[in-house]
Amino acid sequence: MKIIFGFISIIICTFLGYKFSLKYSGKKKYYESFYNFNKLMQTEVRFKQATLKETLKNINENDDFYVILKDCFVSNIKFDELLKEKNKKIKYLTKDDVDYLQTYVNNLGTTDLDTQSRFLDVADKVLIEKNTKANKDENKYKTLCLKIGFLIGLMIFIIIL
Amino acid sequence: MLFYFLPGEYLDGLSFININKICAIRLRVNQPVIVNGDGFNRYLSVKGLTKNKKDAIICCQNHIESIIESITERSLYAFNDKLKQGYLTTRDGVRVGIAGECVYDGDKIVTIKNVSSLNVRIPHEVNGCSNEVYEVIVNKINNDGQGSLCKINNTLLISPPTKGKTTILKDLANKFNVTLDKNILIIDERQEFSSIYGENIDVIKNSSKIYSFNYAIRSMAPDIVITDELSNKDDWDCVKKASISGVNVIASCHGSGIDDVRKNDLFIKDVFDRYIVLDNGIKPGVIKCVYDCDFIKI
Repeated sequence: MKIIFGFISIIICTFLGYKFSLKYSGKKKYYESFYNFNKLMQTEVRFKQATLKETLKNINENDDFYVILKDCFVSNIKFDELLKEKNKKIKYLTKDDVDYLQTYVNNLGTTDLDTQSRFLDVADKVLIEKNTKANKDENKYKTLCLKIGFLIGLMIFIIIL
Repeated sequence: MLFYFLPGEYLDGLSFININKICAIRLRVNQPVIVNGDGFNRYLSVKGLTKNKKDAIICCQNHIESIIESITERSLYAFNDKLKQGYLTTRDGVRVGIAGECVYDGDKIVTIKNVSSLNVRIPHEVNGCSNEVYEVIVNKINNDGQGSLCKINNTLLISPPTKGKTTILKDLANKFNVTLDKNILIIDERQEFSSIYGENIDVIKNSSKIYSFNYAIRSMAPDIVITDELSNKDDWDCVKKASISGVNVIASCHGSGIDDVRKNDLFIKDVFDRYIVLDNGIKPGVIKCVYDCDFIKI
């Protein structure tokens, strides 16, 4: 019986470690999408000059980042209102992440061609950094969380025995 | 909805008005909204038109910003070329003139910021308004019912702004499409011909005249080119080039009479066979006088 409980505790703790690590993979995916969208916008603004609405309608991805943008630019929901409900769901974003997204959304589409291009170029550099950090964090902490979860489970197993 | 870009209270006011009777809505920051109609100017209130300034809707900066945001679908960069020329066109072909602070990079205008005035031009389609003009342009050589044997006169429509030149050109395009067995090319620089289509009509939108005349005439091989507002040297040069290459051109330009056009430095003689000066009255398509290529009244 003790052995069964021990194994169950290992499984539960490892699972909790996995759940905790999801915020790192979520953030990685979020910044990947953010970076890709910014790249796409650089091209759209310079060459195709499609509106944000058209551009977003052509994107079939439905992860957190695109859901926010589509709500803002396709469904015309104000970012502040959106933040109140979405903030509960996107727990992996820090205040800095949310502030940056807000600045980005507020500047998107509001300026002329040259200013917009320059804004996207600056955003590109920032997003490379953020993306790299999110990647590193994911690599570092995802396995760490799993290992810690497993070790806590193992400790419980040993204590039970 | 034609005026989807206007704030709710404006739409409430407009719902009391017959849109066909108005030409423009003028918005100026911190000033009452004015509606220019057929021979009248009135204030716009939430209950329609009024003479009483106190009841008028006052346009504020937020209204102008929200209108621009709505027309550009929050993508100002995509409308940059038009913005630089002082106007925006909605998806339904409503042209909105803009006045504000011009931003320059060297000697080139980059954009217009701090927009303080908007002029919402109401597009009209008046069926049959080009009938008189059509008779001047199309000379039937043999009325065989096929419409193929006729001479098209290169024609310039002349009138002051808001006197219905574009409305006539739109109706003319429809009429050509139905009555003539010819390929019609519309050069629609400002997307004002968005409602015009037909089996013989090709439309080039958002393109400068110089591009359209140089390239599209070669690629689309039109018989008749319809274009609005000749306003600079390039426009006149293009029209001349087209006319000597055997393409018929129907165009318009601003002026109150033939002398205004002749005295213009840009004017090139021997491009047009007919000059039609339009009447300044309320009804579009009424001809004041017609001149031949030597400026002799017909």
